[in-house]
Amino acid sequence: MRKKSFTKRSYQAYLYLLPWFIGLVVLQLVPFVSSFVYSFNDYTVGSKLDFVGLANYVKLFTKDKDFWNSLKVTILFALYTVPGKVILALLVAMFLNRNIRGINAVRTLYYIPSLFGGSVAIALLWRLMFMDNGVVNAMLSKLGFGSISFLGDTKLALPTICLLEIWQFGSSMVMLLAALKNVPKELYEAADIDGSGKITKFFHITLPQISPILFFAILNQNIQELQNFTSPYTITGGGPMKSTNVLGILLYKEGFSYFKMGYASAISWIEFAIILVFTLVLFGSSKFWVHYADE
Amino acid sequence: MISLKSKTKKLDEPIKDKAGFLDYLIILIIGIILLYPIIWMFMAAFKSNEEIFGTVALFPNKWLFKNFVEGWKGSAGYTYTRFFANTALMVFPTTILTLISSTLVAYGFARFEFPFKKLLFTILLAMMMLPNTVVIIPRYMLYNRFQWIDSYMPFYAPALLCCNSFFPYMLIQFLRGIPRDLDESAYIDGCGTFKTLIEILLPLMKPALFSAGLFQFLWTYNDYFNSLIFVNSVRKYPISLAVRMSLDSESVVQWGKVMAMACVAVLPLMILFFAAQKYFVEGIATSGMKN
Amino acid sequence: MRKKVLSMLLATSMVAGIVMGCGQTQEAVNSADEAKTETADNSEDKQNVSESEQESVTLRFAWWGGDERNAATLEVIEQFEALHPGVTIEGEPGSSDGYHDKLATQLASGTAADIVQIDPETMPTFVDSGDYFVDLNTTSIDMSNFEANYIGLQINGNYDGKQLGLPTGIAGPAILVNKDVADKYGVDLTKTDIQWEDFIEMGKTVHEQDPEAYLFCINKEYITNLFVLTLEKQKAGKVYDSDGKLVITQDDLTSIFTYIKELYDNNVVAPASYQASYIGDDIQGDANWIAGKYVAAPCYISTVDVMVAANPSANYVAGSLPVAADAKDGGFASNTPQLLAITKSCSNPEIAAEFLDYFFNNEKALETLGATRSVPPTQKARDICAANGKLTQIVTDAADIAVAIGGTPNDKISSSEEAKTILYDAVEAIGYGQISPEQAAEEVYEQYKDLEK
Repeated sequence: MRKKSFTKRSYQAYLYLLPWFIGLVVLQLVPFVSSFVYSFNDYTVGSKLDFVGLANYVKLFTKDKDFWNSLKVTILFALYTVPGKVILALLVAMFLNRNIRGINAVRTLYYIPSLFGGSVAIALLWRLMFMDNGVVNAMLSKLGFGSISFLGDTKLALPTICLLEIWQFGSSMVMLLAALKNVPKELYEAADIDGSGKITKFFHITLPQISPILFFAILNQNIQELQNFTSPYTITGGGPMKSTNVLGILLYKEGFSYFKMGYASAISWIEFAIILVFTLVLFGSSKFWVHYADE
Repeated sequence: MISLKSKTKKLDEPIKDKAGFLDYLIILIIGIILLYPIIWMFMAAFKSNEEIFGTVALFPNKWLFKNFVEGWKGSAGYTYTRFFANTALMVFPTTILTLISSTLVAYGFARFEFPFKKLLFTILLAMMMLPNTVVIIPRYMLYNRFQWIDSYMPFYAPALLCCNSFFPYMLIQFLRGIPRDLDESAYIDGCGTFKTLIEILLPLMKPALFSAGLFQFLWTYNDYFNSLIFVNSVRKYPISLAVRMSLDSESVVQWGKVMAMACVAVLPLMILFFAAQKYFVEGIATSGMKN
Repeated sequence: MRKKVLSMLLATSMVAGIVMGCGQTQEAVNSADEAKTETADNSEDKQNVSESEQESVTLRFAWWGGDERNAATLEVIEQFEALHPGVTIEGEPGSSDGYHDKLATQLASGTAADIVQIDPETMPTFVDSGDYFVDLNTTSIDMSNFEANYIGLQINGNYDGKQLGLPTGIAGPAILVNKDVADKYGVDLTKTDIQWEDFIEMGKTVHEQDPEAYLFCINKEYITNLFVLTLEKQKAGKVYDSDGKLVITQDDLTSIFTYIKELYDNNVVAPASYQASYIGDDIQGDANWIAGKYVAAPCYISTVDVMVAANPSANYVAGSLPVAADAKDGGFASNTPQLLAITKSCSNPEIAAEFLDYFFNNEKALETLGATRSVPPTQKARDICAANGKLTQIVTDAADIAVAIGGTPNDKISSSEEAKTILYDAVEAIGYGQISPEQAAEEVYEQYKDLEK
């Protein structure tokens, strides 16, 4: 009976998936393949495709200094922001996971910065605050420190932008807090009876219990941060000395300033490859630390 | 401290979970650090350039309300009234279309068995990792052929066709947590699959749908890259482009004016968030509950 | 029971949502259709225009600029519309930031505005990549007010005899001197026969007296555009010849970059890390300029007023532009800051031409526009501006200096965004002390070679 109903249903499933399927083909797969084709061509806006084989990739890897720099910057950007954001979110979530009066208000207020992810308004605010004569430097000099060129120093500009991203840890925190609240109390009580310490409890109870959410948070943040464009583009425009010139900016410049669509497509494919590698590594590692309750 | 403790005893709660004075202090300090930039932005909106640069005082000496009046005028000819209307026209349909399409797709994946399901689901997940940038150039050409450039169709179409896998994924995760027996029995009772979705599952999905809707609203509202590429005429600029334009490069930048409009730009998000935060946090909590 | 009611409610609202959603899509499709019809209507107009101008015509006019320019331009549009019932011109003022990126894609896709403002140094790239612009010689625009020599230059819109754009003004480099500060430190940037080396000496003098003060308010983009490109032309005559072959030598570049390094080393200019806060055209936002800490700002005639407005209380004079004794070319190109062109995708080029005619020749229009697009390109317009006090003395002085020194406009390769970026990067690297002038010259020379035709 049950089996029969399922086979009958299967035809309808495709109907529900139809919008997605059309989108998949028309707006994802075809463009995906097209940009792959473009990447092997010399192609400017308005011109015909001109097949050049691997030339774009060869140029990227062997001649374009900016590319290696952007690759490094993009990866650093993700390596600073993702752990920074997730660890901070987890710490704050664990701190808040207790009997606090007005916890809802606290949770809400902490979430506010996350509302502005990718917002131009906030990126401009950051730029204004961290300028050489901005308010942050004014505060530092009031406290007796020298002025720091946050956006002018090649070593500080990227961390300063990353700080904006990390500041927006609230969304991950709310998710993790919900996950923490959901860990069955009995588990801790049982551990208390066994006399386990705080650290043991964290690694044996808390972490496995919240691991699916943690994984989801890391995965998402990682994909987003590797694609970030607005913050570095608005705050520093990729400078100084290209120290914040993420692949997104390089691609935008090559594609929309110099009209080298073929070359830009090659960059987009490299960006895709990096995201793929990061994601696969995460998925690979998930076997060892992500525990699904019902699987 | 003492009074707190005595209260705790009265309430009969375990003392060790109760936050102490120090904890509240830490919560307060984190809160101030987190919200200071926003508060500063709000105050800067009333300041002149001289006050913004070089002073640490939070409150303006002289409250320049004209920053808002001047800023609202926008870039000659188009006021922020226009930009807000544009944003609404861009964001609301996109959000609604996303919810409809994601619900259908999530339902299809979560509740049916069909050939190639595993493969299709893997593709759905894989698409989450597809960078926007890898498809933006060909998509531009495609939209151009449809004469959709400089309209909001480049935002509506991917929403209608469920191109952001995050939303169906989120809803699938949520649906998995709802016992199948519910809709299974409804189905056996003679309910059609669509009716089962609408009558049984949809009410239960409310928190997740709210959450998804809010996310999509925020993302579309904040989006800069796509607006930059797809929206050309100032007449159709959404807020994000308008705010960037306020930093016009050929006049002296009045940062107070820019910050005033930045405040105005983030205000709807704040209002929306405070109005809906109960559902929002609930949504995250419930969807977060399931793997 | 309550649950059932709730679910019914939600189901209803969901269905309503679906219907609404469909309604929205329908509407969007309809408006797309309308747009199509509109275009079709317009092309009909094109044929009927002489018979009835009453048919409604809508044209788009895109430009970048600040508030003043926007207001003046919109006012001229209103004047024109009042004279031509049925014609609507939609102004699309924008920011110069990203304007040309966007325009490039719009041109390629045929969605550009009907009348567009273009940076003359970007124009060659557009002309090369497609047949995008109407030859204005074939239109009704009266060009008799322009000097034939001036609009005959390629940089001013004339491409192989085709007038693809009209210059909106005369622009060139300028050195805006804050006289109060200059006197305070005892440096004279207005002396005739000023040499490049003088800048170094003056810079030292200034910085020695006040460690927070610098001679020039400048950033890497302005160093490149005003110093490096000028020095390139003074040294080599031109960077690339008309066949697209590289003329300048690596030695020339080495000596130029050595000079740039001296600017930084001797604190003639602020440290690179400070300059990084003010990217591109943002130098007027430099808080130290606003506070009157710099002696001078190398800028353009078209931006003199903006720089003055940033710190209006000071007294200003126009400084001299240095020309090396052995210079092969004045190097300081005076040309238009913008071109106005009619795109081939324009639905009604006749009306667009009439608008440009009004824009460039009508007295009321000229009075309204004033000097919002730099010093006007025609004598007629300049006279009107001077009579109305719309041209300030400092701007007129700066224009006189620039025109007197003159120089060949930048060739299209070295003025391309790509070639400039090579220089921006080199200047920035020198500013940060990351590479030596020799290395910079070698790298730039190599990359310049790649851009050869």
